[in-house]
Amino acid sequence: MPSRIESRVLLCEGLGDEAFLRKLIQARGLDQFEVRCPKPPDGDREGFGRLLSGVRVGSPSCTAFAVLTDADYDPVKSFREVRAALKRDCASFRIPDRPGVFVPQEHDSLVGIFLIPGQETPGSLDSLCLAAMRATWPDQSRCLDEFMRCTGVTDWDRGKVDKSALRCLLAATCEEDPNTGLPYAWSRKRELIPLSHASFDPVVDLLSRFDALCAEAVATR
Amino acid sequence: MIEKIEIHNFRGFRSVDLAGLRRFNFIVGPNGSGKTALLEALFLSMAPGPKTALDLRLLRGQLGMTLLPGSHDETLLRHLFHRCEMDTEVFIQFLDSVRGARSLRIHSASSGRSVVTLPSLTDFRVNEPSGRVVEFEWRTETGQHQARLEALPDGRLGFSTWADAYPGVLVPSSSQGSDSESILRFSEISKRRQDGRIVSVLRRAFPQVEQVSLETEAGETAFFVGVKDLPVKIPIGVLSAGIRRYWSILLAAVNSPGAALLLDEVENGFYFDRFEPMMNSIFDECRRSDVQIFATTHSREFLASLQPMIRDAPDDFALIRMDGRAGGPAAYAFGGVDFGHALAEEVEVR
Repeated sequence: MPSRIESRVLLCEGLGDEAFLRKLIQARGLDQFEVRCPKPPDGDREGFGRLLSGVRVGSPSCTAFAVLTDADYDPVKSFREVRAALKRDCASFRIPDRPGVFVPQEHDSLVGIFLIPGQETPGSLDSLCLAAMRATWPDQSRCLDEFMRCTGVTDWDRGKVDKSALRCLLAATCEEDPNTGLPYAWSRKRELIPLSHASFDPVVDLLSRFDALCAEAVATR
Repeated sequence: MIEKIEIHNFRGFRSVDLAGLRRFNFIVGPNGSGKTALLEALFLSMAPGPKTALDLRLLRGQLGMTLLPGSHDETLLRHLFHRCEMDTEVFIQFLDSVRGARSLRIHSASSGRSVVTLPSLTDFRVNEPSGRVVEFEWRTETGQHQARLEALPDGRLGFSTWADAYPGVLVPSSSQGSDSESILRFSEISKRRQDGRIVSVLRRAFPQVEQVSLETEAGETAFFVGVKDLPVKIPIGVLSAGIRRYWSILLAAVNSPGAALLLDEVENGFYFDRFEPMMNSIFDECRRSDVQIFATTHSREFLASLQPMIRDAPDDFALIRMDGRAGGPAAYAFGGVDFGHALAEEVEVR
């Protein structure tokens, strides 16, 4: 196992996550990461196994692959789902049995599963974006809360409430294109979701510690 | 079928180990990463004698075959050695699932005799007191054969051959040159009365071809094709260099049972929408004749065309990725499942 990782690849759930991570990496001046999400029809967690096994084929030998997934409001269940998808489609890999660590593989590569916002913290990319938007758009947020109550959305599963609220806030703040979704939220003239917001710090912290986490995996091999 | 390859000190390879090879192996990587050298290593180790090393010179555009007075066969063969360092020993070994291991060692040794002076019109000073020769040693489970290229007194090269060759066909990246081997293969197929079937296989990919036959023109025998709306048959290469190349690959696949088919730049000469029907037919013929393929490619479109065939039979496929980034060519083999996933995810594997 080499002492230095040549390539860092982040595998995320969908186009929204991919756009977010690319912009965050750029905005926070982090190291160079390649970011990819599964192609349809296997989006979301179901596609992680196929994506990891395929991306490994085109990557240099010393590559660290971090699978990033939403912790949602049941981090244990989320981790299990990702692990199951990887085990199904990545027969030749050693799949981590806990989140937040890298595990050494063939060809000197590393694979880890990491939950957003944290390994034991409930939440998702949507909840982080929602927190950043609420802070930036307080007036719209108050109206949004009322709208969510009136429409009964607040009775939904918490993760779905966050997704719905984020979508509504984006529509209400993007006059340029009210139809805009998360993948294009950072391509607008106005900054709709400020990437400097503290809600994103846990993700930044994870990416900043990336090489240290790789080194830990190599050392414990 | 070849399952593993091991190469040491050959061309750009210091040391390469490849396992998990399948019936259809596709080799990718940048220029100079060792794709063609991998085919050459296989072909040379399959060969019946050292003449194949000279054939490889021709394929690489090294046309000179004359030993000048005072020079030795190392002049012709030094590029086989890693970094042209002839003090090292080339070692190539592959493992066949049925025939077992086959290896080739190539090393340079003192000839133990004086320099062979070849006739020349120029006055050439001989500086070296004694010569060195390059020795080849093939080993299989059942025997071994040692050989060397010999500079004969009349200036020609001599070499011995061995009956125990491994069946292999190398199809270079361009299809220039004669059709003599293809003609022999077609003749064999025709004698077995399978010529009609093989022409119908060609027509699946190139329906404009109605007939293929051997004709004599200007003292040469060549393949001619009958094409719709043309009153006369024309040479196959006049119709299309690509169709001519495909025909030669198809004949090799059909008439070389148990062989390894080594295709350099397999996509060369073919229109992109023909890749899938062509390869589908070639794969069918290879399965029928127990032929294994090792093919290099630079084409993303070609690789993408393999996707449905890999999906149907992933265990038949492997991708070999050559990587020159680690200070010298290295090679990694991936099975059909991973290969298929990479294509489905539009990963750049070349």
